[in-house]
Amino acid sequence: MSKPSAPTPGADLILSMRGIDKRFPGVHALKNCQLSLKRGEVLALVGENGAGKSTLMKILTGIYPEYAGEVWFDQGQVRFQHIREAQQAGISIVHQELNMLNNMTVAKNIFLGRESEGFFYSERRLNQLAQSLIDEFHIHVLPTDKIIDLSVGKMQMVEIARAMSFPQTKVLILDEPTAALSETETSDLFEKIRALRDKGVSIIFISHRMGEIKRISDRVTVMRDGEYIDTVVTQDTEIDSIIKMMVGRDIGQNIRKSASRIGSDAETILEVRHLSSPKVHDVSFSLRRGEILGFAGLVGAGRTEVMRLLFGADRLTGGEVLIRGKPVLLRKPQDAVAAGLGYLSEDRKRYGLVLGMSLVGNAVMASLNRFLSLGLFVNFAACLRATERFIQNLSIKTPGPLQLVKNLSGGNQQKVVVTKWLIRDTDILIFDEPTRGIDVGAKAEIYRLIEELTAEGKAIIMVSSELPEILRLSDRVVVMCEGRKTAEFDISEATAELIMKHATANTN
Amino acid sequence: MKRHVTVVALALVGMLALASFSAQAGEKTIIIISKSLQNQFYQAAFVGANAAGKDFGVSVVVNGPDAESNIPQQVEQVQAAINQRPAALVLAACDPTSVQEALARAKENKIPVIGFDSGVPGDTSGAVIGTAATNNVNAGGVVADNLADSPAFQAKVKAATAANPAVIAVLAQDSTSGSIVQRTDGFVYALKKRVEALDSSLVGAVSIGGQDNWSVPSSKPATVKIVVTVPPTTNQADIQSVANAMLLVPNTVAIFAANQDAVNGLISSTADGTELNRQTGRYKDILVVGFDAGSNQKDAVRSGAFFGSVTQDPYQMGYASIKMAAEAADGKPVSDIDTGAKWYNSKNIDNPDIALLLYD
Amino acid sequence: MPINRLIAYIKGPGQQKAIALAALAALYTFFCIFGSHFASRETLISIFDSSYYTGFMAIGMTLVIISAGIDLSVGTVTVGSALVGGVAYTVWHLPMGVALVVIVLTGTLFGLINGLLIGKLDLPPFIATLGSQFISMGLCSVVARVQTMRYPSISHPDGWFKTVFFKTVSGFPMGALWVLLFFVITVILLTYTKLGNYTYAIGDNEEAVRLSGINIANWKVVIYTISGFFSGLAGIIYAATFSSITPQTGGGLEMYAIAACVIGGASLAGGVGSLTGTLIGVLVISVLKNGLMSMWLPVQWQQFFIGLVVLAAVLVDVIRSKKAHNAK
Repeated sequence: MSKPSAPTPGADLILSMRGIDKRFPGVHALKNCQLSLKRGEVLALVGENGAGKSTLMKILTGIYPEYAGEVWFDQGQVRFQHIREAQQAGISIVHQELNMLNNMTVAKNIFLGRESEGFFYSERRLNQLAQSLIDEFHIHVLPTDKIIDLSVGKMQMVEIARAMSFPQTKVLILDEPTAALSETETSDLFEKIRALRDKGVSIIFISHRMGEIKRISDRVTVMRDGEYIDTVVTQDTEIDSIIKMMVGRDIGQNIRKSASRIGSDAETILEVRHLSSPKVHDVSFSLRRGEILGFAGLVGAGRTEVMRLLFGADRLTGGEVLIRGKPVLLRKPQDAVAAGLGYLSEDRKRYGLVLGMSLVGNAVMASLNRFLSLGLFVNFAACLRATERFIQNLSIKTPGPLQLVKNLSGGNQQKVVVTKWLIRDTDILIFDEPTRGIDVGAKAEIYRLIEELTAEGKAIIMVSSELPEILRLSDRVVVMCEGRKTAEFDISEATAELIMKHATANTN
Repeated sequence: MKRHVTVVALALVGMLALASFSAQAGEKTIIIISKSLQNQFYQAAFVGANAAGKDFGVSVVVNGPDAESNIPQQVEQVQAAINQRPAALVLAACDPTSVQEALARAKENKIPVIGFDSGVPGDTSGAVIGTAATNNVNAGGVVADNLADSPAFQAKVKAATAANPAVIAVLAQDSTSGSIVQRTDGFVYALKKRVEALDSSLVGAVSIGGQDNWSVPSSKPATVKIVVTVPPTTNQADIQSVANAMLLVPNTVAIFAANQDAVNGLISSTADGTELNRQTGRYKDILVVGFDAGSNQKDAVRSGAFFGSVTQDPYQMGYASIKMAAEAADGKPVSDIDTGAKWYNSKNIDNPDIALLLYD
Repeated sequence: MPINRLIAYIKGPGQQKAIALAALAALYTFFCIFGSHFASRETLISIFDSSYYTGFMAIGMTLVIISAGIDLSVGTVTVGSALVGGVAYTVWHLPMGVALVVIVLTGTLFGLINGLLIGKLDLPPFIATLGSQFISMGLCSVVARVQTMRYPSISHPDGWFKTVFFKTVSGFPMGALWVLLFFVITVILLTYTKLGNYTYAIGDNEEAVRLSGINIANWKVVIYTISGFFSGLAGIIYAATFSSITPQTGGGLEMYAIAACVIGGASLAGGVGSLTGTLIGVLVISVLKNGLMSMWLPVQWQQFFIGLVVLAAVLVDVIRSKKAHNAK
């Protein structure tokens, strides 16, 4: 495919970035990159993590004012020195991490930094302005609601409303806006994006989800390793070819498992009966040796809550848990760990890892007792040996076991969490959204890892909001909705449509 | 949560009840506030005060800040004491100016105030109607007299020359505390007089210096120098370093440590007094005289490391001040009482009449 | 209707304040019953009078804590600026009015230095103000040549400034009016100005504020300067209350201010807190102080019980937020 140079903005183009080059100490982050955006289009910007999408957007919005190359916006060349200048010129960004003021109201969040011209401001006026924005975007919140009381979806909508509240926003950048959204919230968001586009706003949409890109975007710009690869018209392009451009290889997004590999005679290792808590209602299921049990459902369906009960992190009000046929009391996480359960949180960075510690430090954290000599001193050499074995087995990409975990990629961090539980000889592993925030290439490796674990006889519960992931890995699928189990399928019977139907069973 | 709050509240009430168990208010209450609660000197005064309380049928409440330098705390205590409407207040002010406003309120409310120990010098409120204290000028004179009576001292002073003058050092902890200033006054002037009386050659040959407050030049080249030194702060560390410097001045004949803190500073800078040992000590030729008591000082005097000390009579101070306060509360006129000072050394330290005055 | 709204407020955002207020009332009642001569107008005025300097320090501290900062220097700056004011009056022979301005300027200057260190040089507030705690203590003592500075007594003509605080006007203590005046001004600042909004916002999520194109450094300078200004005001009252200012003291007073904020519901994590709560906290501490003295308890018990109350306040807050979290 040819690489045409970006034309100057004119009637057709609102934005054109050319020859953008950016270096950080030790990293050549962007190499001669370009991007062009038409008036009133949705442009998807895709690429694996580290491809340079965020850096490019930070240059565009003035967060990184130092760079080589030129940016043409609207009528002329620009070089924003500060995010404020970009906002005033008409470029707004909604960041991937929701940067909100949790204890403050919706109105104050929307107008942060623009309360008034002078020193005093009127909260009543802010509320009125916010109300009209809220009406315009049909968000179900009050201007006086505190952010902390909103769902993630609503927060996201408030952020978008905020981005659009700058007068004459011509370009709106959405950085992974659907990462934390449920299916209905995503549809809702897409409707609003289309409405904005129809009003003439140009939108740059960054996402890892190919299905969404297909649904919402007009064109797709692909980046890889800090380089511009190509821009294609979405309609004329297959998902697989986009992915091929992203990763430079074919990984097959649409593979699914056709039949369970587990015989009905396999040992039942975990049995859960009538599990109940304020947020979980009478959930029962079982897990067999070597099996992958997928937990499907919308965000907020109560799947994570079930896992937290199972792991002793929350208190259950009813029901029982049997491991290898014996009832166990799981009142705190220590109990669950002792019973052979390992939990891999969806939020690795908060609950799974100590980022500032080394790989080996994280790996042996849950099992330090095994590495003690004289019952007191940590036998560091033994720790290193054990960790190195798993670095090899799980092919963790790291310069060595002493590397700090924060310097590893998302996929490799996930593997470190797995290592942590494997060193403990954990039999039952609970993966909560195992590939969230992990790029496409690394996803495949995580999938392979999960499958290899079952081959060794581990039993796995996998909570995932991505249907392709569920269909690809699970042997059986449990579907939840509003705290209840609404269906259970053998993988041979499961289809995306069927799962979606039960995942929305109780909702309208 | 209600349960938690109740538990916390109950615990609070319980502890308060327990803590206030020891304090009971009698018919007539007299509050005595010292310059520092823990100081051994004031503890002895409190014993006297409580004894007087029994004798005169009043209830005595003792209080004081955690350190002499904690002026704000004492001000708050005096204010709170006046809010209590005691029959009388007995006070040794850390800083006389800072309690003036509070004392004015005492006067307004007709609460008689009795000073004890250093009292409230320069009181302008008119609330203080009498003081039970050592006459410190006299007490300083007692020290000087006993030192000047010593044959060893006399010999050295007479042998001194203008080229190699004999030095008598005074370690005064504070140049603002009334009692220490008066004590130092009493000591330096009495000693000058006594030394000049020893020999005709010494007349006019004694100088007093070291501080602006104590500066009397000699009329001819000084053969005897009385040098007063005040440490930069009242901290123990500063006192100790000044004491160290004094010990190293050549031809130092005698050192007078003018209060208990100064004595302790001196003792700690002489390896707990061992360097003052009469036979073997590094400073065995220096005659050290102290003031007040306390276990360290008593040990030093008993062992002979100190030539001797003068003690005030804290017990008497506490006793007399409560007696005055009780009388004042009954509307009787009161007048100042000198509670006296006594010389003690290794010979008489264990005599019953002296031992009674020596607090630990 | 208003009653219902009040109840909703007490159950909702005002809960910590309501609990603090209830604790204040309970403590006061307790001491009225068990203390001697506590239930008197004099004692009530004493409670107010002994709370002013803590009150001023705590008002400034509230802003700082809401912005997720801490100002450990307010105690020594309060005493230090009173010391410098004493030098201005007794050594430089400036009129008392000018000396009072010197006190406020000294406090404000230290606040400005804190603000520059924290805002412009990005030092952590704990470290920066720990440094300026020692610096203010040392520097002001040097200016005073390590001498105790004495202010004139209330009967002296130059003692007029004491009457400004310690006179009662138709039964109401004047000092409380001053505190109230600055309280209202600061409430207006916090509620109706950008400064207030950004104080809460910075404490809540500094990164979000930065990404909104707001100059955080400048606002931090302002916040800490205000704290210094209030330390200066506290310095005036400190001088009026204690007359004699000893060099190298004041360390530890900031802890009372911090305690007052925490009792009043401020979170050291930032983003949460109110001046009303802080003022209640100041009174709780003052009632404890005076009450325990009225029970003939040695001063060390004050520290013990203030510690207990601070722990209780934090405990209540923790339980409350846990409950709120579970309810969601």
